[in-house]
Amino acid sequence: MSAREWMHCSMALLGLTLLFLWGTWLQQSLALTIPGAVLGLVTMFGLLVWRYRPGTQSAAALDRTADTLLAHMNLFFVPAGVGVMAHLALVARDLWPIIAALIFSTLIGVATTGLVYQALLRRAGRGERND
Amino acid sequence: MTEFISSWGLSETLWLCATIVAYGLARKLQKVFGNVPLANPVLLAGVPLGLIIWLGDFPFASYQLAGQVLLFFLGPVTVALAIPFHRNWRIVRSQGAPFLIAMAAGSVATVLSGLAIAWALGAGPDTLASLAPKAVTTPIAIGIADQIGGIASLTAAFVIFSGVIGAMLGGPLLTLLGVNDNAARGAAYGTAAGGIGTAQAFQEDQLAGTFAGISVTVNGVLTAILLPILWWVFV
Repeated sequence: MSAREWMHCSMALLGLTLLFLWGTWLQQSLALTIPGAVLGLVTMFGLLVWRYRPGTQSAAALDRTADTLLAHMNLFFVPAGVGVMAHLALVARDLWPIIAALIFSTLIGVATTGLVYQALLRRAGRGERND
Repeated sequence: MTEFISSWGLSETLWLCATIVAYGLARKLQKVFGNVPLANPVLLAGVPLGLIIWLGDFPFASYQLAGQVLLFFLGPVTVALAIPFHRNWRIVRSQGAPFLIAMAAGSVATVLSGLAIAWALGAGPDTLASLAPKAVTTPIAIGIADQIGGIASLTAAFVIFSGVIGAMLGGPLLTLLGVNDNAARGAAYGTAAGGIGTAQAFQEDQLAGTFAGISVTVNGVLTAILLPILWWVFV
């Protein structure tokens, strides 16, 4: 990574952070229930539609920065994972119902979404061939 | 902010470094095992760190302060989701209807089955209210829990726990059920396992990650609007 690319990626990270702060400000000043990060995301999307030019150096740096951050998204959840251990000890009374409910409801949700989605895609695919 | 800086010290710096190193090692270990979802980095890095804090009797508040730096950056990471959304926008738009139907079905199934199981096993009302919003992203889930009489910090822990479970076991389950379409897999991860599910989806495939990210966003906003209303109607 050249010094110039490094600079561009740092600016991209700074831009993402500023958009997050802008979203947080927007959320607080309008007292919205939508999180600031989501408002920042929507703003970023608007900016991309407006001014994203593939092939430019800043576009490449933005792509690279976003892809790297998203590939390592788990890093940012590690402190929350550590916090869970402290919290689950607090709910000793309801611990087993909670763990059973969390595990099974999550898997039921994964299976339902995946199966319904794939069934709908297959039906749409068949429809297209029939047309 | 000034309070944050004045209470930041050497131990917080070390905890921050330890967390990053633990994540790096967890990721290496996951790669050794051929990138299996079961070797989830949040689990592989979180458990040793938790054990060190517990066995070493270190003040948890100090670790939490260090963790806030990484949690802060979840904000810019969420904003970064706009880039793959934009890149894959045509595919997303062409699948709007199946996506919304599947996401809604999965979201309802998660909430209802979670409440039913916990209720059948004798969980109390405050636990149930903390459990209901656990499939959506943390900031939204906390807001909903507050509104319907749950305990916010408990809900935050449930969100993370569900995310790790969904990321570890969701992929193998989808494969077992024959769900091999990347958009469908991503939507499933995002709807039931939130942010950690999205992280897993991005490790598998760009398009899966995109659909997971959109699921988290749309499911979060819809749940924030609908769940409190339904809660007051039925409870």
